[in-house]
Amino acid sequence: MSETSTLWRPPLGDALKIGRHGRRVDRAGVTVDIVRPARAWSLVARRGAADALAIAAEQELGLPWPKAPRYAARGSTFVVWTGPDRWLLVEGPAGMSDSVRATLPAGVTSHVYATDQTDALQILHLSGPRLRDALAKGVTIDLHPRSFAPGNAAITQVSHLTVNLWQISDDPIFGVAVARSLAGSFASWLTASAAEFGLEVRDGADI
Amino acid sequence: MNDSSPATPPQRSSAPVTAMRLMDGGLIDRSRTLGFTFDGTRYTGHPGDTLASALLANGVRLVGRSFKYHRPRGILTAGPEEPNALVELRTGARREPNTRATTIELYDGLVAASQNRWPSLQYDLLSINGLAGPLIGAGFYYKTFMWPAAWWEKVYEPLIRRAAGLGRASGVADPDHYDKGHLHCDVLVIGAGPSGLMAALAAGRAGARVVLCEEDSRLGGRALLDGRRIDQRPAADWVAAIEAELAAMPDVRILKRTSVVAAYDHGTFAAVERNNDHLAEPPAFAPRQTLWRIVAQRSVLAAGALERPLVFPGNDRPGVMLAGAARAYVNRFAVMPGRRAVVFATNDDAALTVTTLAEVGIDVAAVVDARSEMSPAMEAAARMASALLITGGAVTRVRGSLGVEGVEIRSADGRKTRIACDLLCMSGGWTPNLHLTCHQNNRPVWDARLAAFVPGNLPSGMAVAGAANGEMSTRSAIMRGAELGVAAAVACGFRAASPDLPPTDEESTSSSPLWRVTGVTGKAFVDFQNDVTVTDIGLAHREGFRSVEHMKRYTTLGMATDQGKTSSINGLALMAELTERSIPDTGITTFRPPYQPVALGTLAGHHRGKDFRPTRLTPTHAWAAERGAVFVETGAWLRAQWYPESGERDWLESVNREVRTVRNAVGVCDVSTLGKIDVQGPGAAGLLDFLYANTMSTLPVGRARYGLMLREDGFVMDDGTVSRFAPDHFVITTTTANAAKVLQHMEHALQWLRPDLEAAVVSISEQWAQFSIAGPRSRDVLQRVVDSPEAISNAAFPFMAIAETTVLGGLPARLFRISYSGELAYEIAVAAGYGEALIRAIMEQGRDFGIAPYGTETLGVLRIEKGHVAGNELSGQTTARDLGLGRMLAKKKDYIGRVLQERPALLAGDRPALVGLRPVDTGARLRAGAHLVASGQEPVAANDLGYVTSVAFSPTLGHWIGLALLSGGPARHGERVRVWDPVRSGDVLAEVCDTVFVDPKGERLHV
Repeated sequence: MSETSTLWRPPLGDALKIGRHGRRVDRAGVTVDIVRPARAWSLVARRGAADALAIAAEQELGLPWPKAPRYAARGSTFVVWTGPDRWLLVEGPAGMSDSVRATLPAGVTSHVYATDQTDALQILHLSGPRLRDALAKGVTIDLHPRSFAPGNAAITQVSHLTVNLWQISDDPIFGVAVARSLAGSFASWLTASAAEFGLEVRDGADI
Repeated sequence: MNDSSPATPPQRSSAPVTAMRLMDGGLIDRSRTLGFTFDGTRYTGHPGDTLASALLANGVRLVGRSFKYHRPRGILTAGPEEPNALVELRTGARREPNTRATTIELYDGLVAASQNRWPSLQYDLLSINGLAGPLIGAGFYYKTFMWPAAWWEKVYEPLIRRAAGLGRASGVADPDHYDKGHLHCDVLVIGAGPSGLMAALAAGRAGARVVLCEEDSRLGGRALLDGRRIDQRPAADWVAAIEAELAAMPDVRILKRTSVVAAYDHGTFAAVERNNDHLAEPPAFAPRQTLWRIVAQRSVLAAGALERPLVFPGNDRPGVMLAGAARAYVNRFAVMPGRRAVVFATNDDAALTVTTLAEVGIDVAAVVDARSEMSPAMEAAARMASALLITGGAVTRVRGSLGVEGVEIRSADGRKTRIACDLLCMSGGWTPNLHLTCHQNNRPVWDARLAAFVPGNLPSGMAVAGAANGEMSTRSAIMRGAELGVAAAVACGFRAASPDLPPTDEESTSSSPLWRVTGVTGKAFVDFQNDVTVTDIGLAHREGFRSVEHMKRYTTLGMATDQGKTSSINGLALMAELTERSIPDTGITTFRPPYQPVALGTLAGHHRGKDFRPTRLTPTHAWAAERGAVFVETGAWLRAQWYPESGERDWLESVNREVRTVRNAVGVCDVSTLGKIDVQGPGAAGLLDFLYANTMSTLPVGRARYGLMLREDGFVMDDGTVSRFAPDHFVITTTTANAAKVLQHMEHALQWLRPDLEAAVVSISEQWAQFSIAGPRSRDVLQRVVDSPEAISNAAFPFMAIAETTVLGGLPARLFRISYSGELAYEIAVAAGYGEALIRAIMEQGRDFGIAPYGTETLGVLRIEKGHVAGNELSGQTTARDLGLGRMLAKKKDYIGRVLQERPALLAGDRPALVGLRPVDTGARLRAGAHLVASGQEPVAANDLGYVTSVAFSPTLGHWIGLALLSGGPARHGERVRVWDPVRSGDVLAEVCDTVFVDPKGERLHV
């Protein structure tokens, strides 16, 4: 779909420009990588198929399938628990396929109802030494390493916005997914909240 | 030591010597000098000073005028409880009124001004109010300015506010940024005096996550102010050692300049951190203040105690200061609060003030102990200070107006002595600072031994240590703090051991209350900030305002910025005396958050302007903005309302053009905001049958159907379309407003009402950009956009057909031949990221056919012309029958709302039902919201027949049209009704007609 992919507009639009924002510091306290997934799906397990799905997903996608509010990744593909028997499955940039109508492995498909959400979300990877301080300005839940470790995920509120939040590593790196239409409002909050620590926005393709 | 006898030369010659500054000592940095101005006069101070200490160092005692009587006022305290020294801080947009000089940290270039005086602080004309005191006591304004009532808001209140005011707001937008934040911890310690420090240390060493909040810029609390020794070294050194250890603990967070202002349920607290109030302006990008929400498993309240003033005539004169504050200025700020002092107290704690003052060379002329028995501690202090000790005495009068010049003392035997002095230190004892223990409706309990209220029942997880709990000595505070810190950590699952307890000085805390000095005349103030005197409390009593809550409201005692921190106990004790009740029987007013004043900007945080709440943008927002669209907020969405073109004078002209373009050519509108829900699974058709009042299981694949959803109570909930893409795959739409509610409704049905059905419902509102292309040329445009034009011919793709297809050379799309406008129309959807590209392509391909984009206004006109219902009609109070949709109700299946819509009242023939309205005079304007009465009837409620729900100017018909809910409904077609609009003075005669104004047979849909 290369001829049409140039027509695609990211959810953030111009709301979060690549580069440095806020206080000028050598190393930005907060770094944002704008993730452009190849595909993203909402998955809902078919009735009674959750266990079979977990087995199939581990075999075919190599993902330890979460049955609690958790996140798991293999390569650039990751899965986030979004509710009982519900997940967000994201195929990352490295897996970028030319087929717009990309399909899930059959072994997985047979156990789920899948709904394309590729354009529904803005996914960001957040990192940096002051990340938790910046997140604390909007995230109401406890993100201290003792309470929220790598692999944990939550559906929570950031500054009146509902987001999916997950921890990727203890550097720390967090992932966040926000609805497309609200990406600008999220960016406005993030820019204001990270400004005092220095904010760097990078194109996720450069990770 | 004073400036007339410089025993040693100044160590740093660069620092200017100020009149009342001691040569050494104090926690100030003499190596740096800060300049500031107060009421236009330049002064200097040092880092570590507060505005109050710097003013005192410069010999400034008069800092304000009182609220009502405009009496000269000075500095009473050395802390946040200050009722008198309120100033306007900063200038311009950052001007902040009612700021307490005792909490303002000095910075270079600070500008402050006194308040509530004219023309100047020294000569305030309104001090004549003081002479009128007998006339304008408590309740004066309420009694005097009663008539005429209409004058209250227009005349009296503005006048009174001008005369009796506190400071002035800046009147312009606050240029600073405020933050909110969320903190979580095992143990929250409130207050970093000796007890709080020990609690934090004990919990921190155990490994607990600790948040330690201290209002002041330094940790230490009274340890910094009293000049005692702890751990065989100066208390400040002991504090510094503990602070260093705490700061090195990774899970201990120290928040200085942070007031915990509220205690809520489940260990949740609100705290305000003044991040940058101590600077002229915040550094770039840094917040001025932060509102923290702190969630703690356990909390230790170590908020200390507040000293009570004594109540005697002239106790408000500049130079009358709390005894604890006087020694605080000496010990912490190296400032002499006066040169010749009298100390008037009811307790042994004041003995420390006597010795402290004497040690730095202040002449203590007399020590007046109100207690009848000789106190050994006071006697020793007086002897050390070579001061006259008057046991069983009282200060009965204060000489001096703009500042204390002397006092009159009455001895136990009634003899009166006059003593010249410029400082009068007073102490009525200490009140535990238990505010936060009461925020969840707990009441404090009276401790007769302490003559003070102490914490009663506590919020869950809270314990109270030190002076806040009535443990007044440093030793007991340290012991209790350590004990509670250990207990809190253990309660959170940590193994904890008590830190070694440092040795402390011996001290006596003996105290006996004196609620007022009797047998005296003259204004004796109970509440300084609100100018409430002993007489006012007597007046409240005489007039029957005897409950403490009534007394508070009648006299205003305990209101405004200090909320009675120094006055409430004295006030209720006086009321107890007047009513001959005990203090506990009299009770105490309710403590409510916030403990300290909180700026509104802090509560707002980031949520100002467009960030007040999140804004949702459509996939074509940037494109519409580029075209100059006018936007409207619809819920959280920002939608294009209309697209003005050059030369158009108003919205109506633009909208009329857009409507005509749709009716005669073709228009395009972004309808992505409609809720879109994916429904999959073997139970999908069954679920939709259960949710909609009409049948959906019979819908063929490749077709769409209009659907009506009812609430369980039988009223209409929402409407939309249902499209079937596969036997077990549907996509439904909802109205924009109900997108989330319908999804919730569906989940509820699936999880609780029909768990037998297997289906998945997933919102796809964000995934798809969806556009309506409407008008007689819409197919022509669309055929240039889709990859297979022949597939959408009228025959191949009839009205209500749907398909998955591709556009723009392979881009997957969903196509629906549905119409809201009544014209030949389609809706086309692509992945949201391609929405902008698609609308540009549609506009490009539509140019030959005269295409124009249209907004929500035109959308509204088109649907009103067609009599389609929208949010105005789907009000939650209308049934399907009311809306003329009764024929849609299925007879042969169950669905939500089926039973209750059959209630007799909902079937009554006189229920308001939907009709159309056209003005008899076609030049007249109809207004939505106008009420309907029969022609010739008076417009009164008894004659009300209904109201107009929606109106539009129909460019197709050339006049205004309306939809209305009219009693009797369509049975009245042809009748005339009076459309009465009292709000906009409308009174129009209209004919009741069918709801469909344009193409009533619907022929245009099928061409």
